[in-house]
Amino acid sequence: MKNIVLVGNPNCGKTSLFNKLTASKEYVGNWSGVTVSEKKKILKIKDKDFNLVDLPGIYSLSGYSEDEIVSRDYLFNNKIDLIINVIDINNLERNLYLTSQLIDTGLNIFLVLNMADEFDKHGDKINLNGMMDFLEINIIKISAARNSGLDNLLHEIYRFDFDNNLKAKSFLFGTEEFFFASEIVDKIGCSLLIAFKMMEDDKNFLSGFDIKKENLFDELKIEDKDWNEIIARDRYKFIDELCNKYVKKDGGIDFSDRIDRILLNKYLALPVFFLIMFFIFELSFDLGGRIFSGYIEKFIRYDLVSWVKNVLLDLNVNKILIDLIVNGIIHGVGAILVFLPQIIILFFCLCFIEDSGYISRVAFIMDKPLRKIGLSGKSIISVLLGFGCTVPAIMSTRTLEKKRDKTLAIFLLPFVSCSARMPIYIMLANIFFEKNVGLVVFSIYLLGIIIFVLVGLILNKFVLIGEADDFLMELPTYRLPIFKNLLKNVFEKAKDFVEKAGSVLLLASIGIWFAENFDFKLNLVKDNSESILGFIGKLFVPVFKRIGFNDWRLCSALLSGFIAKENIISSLNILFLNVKYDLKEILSPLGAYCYMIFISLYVPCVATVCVIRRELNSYKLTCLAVLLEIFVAWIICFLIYNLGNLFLC
Amino acid sequence: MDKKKSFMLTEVKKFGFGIIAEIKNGVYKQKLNDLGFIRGEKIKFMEQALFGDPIMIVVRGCLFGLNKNVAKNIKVYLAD
Repeated sequence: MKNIVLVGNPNCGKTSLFNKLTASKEYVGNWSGVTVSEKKKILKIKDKDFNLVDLPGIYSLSGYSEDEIVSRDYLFNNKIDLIINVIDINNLERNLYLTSQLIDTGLNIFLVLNMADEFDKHGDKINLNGMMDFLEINIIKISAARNSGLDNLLHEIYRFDFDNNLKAKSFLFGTEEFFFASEIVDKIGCSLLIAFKMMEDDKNFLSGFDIKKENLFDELKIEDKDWNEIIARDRYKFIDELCNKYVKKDGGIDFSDRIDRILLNKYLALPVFFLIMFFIFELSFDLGGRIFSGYIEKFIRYDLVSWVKNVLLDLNVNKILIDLIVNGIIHGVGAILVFLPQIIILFFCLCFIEDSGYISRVAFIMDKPLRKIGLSGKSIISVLLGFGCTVPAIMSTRTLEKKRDKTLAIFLLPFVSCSARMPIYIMLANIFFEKNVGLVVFSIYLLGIIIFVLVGLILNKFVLIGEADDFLMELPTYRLPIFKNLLKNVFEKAKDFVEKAGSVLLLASIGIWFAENFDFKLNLVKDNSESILGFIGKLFVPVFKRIGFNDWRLCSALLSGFIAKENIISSLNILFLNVKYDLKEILSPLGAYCYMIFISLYVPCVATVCVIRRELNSYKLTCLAVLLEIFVAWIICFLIYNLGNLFLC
Repeated sequence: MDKKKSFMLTEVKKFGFGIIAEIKNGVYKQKLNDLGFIRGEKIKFMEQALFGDPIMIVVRGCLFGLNKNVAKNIKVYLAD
């Protein structure tokens, strides 16, 4: 099967194109580094199958960070039949730089000019045929987001003659450096690009190859010049000439610039950012809850339960089975589905921020503050993703170039409260703090951030000493997110959530129901505290008693939360016949508040721990991270519980 | 202001235009070159974050954010 690779600058729409071509659902956003590892899919065109690979975005073929190295290694260590160089047509002048390097690899290449819709809207013009003839390369104009030009691209791939293709001419053809590079190529038989890299003395790049310079340069009489600058300058010179000749830009008004005057204003930037975040949380917790969740909850808890019960009773179904279905499954899984509206609103807002291009600006304005805890502005992107789910947040730390930064970020990210924990806060806040739900939930999030900062300060000062990597980042132009794509993104998230409820949470609910109703000899118990779960939960009571959870059911719910945080809600709903009243009896408002805090800070779910292990590549560090979260959670709850008792009494 | 005098990018405190005078040798040289920060290229000075770090500039039509540690490698001439 032929191997086709998508290569391009960050944020030029490679993943959008990949998704459209293979009908898959990889994650897309308007910031650099959405894709952090290679992704493969089969591309079917009529009767032919191709292997399509999506690589992380890179500005050039060097090796500055892990995801750039992934791209370099993939290109040079695999048999590549065709490179599809995806280019943001609105930013040809910079995107073509990578193109010029890709051409020098000597591989087959297609140029795909993406985001043509924006380009056309601006009234800009490009002479495609002229450019194609001049470069001797296939160029196709598309808009992946708007589905235009894709058929043409598929057609061109389909009829492409992989074996008998003329190679495109180097952008540097005719220059002094081209002359020397050709001599190097003749001498050692490498590709032009590697010859240029040898002249540039790019150690990052050459580290991946077994190449010895030795006396080659003396032999070929290659002078010791600032080749680095000369080569880059000449590549750009060629590109400028090319663009002047074939592209007519209208200039247009800079919409992005005007938004930035406000959003990135020296004094307004931070307040505006916090306001936006506050607004997002208010919208999801308060409004989302009030408008939607109430109805769903009522439906599941009362209408559905009584209907199912009646049907089952009519059918003379075994009482234990009815209990499993009603108290185990409906209460367990249903309790989670109630929170779907909030999750949808939260994800909608987060997706909007990402797609619009604001997220990299947040990195810009938060750079200085984050440096205080030893992180660079870039890591705020991981933090914002963390409000959605900790797993992608931890994966996104790959864009951090320094190992120290990455380790620090991974240790801290679990403190950012993910959306799976949100339902628990809302449920408990609704029971104990009816009048201030939004405020209480927001305070939990805020506390998570405060702990994030405090632990960061301590780790930075005593353990992971050093300075965060420097900040150098492109801030993409604002883009009004395409509503359809936004909805699709949110729909995927919602689907994941429901699927999780239907699989992991369903099984866990059944498991919890079973462990709650049977003892170790598999006899049905009358008193739940003698059940398997009761036994295990009681083991932990002494530890949690100190922070106010003096009930085995609360403890076993926490244990089940390790499988997935949503489980805590299911467990509580299964373990307590009437959550609202029963919880109020065993927990004081202060205890409930501590319970929420503990949930927000203690070990993340299994999935997160696995990702942490994979990214840190160390069992020892992973254990340390997990222990740190538990320790911090316990200490903070201990402090709040005891101080609170002191002041409230 | 003397046009021939070059400034470190970190010293430029106002909005306006300039020309890149030099990229200092060092870890950022190659990376900046790749991004189009090349001697003679036009540069537009934009907003700075609170406390003047990081700063924003436009080079070759792209908006970049960079912190002081990177910016001090770039020397510029100011345009009138």
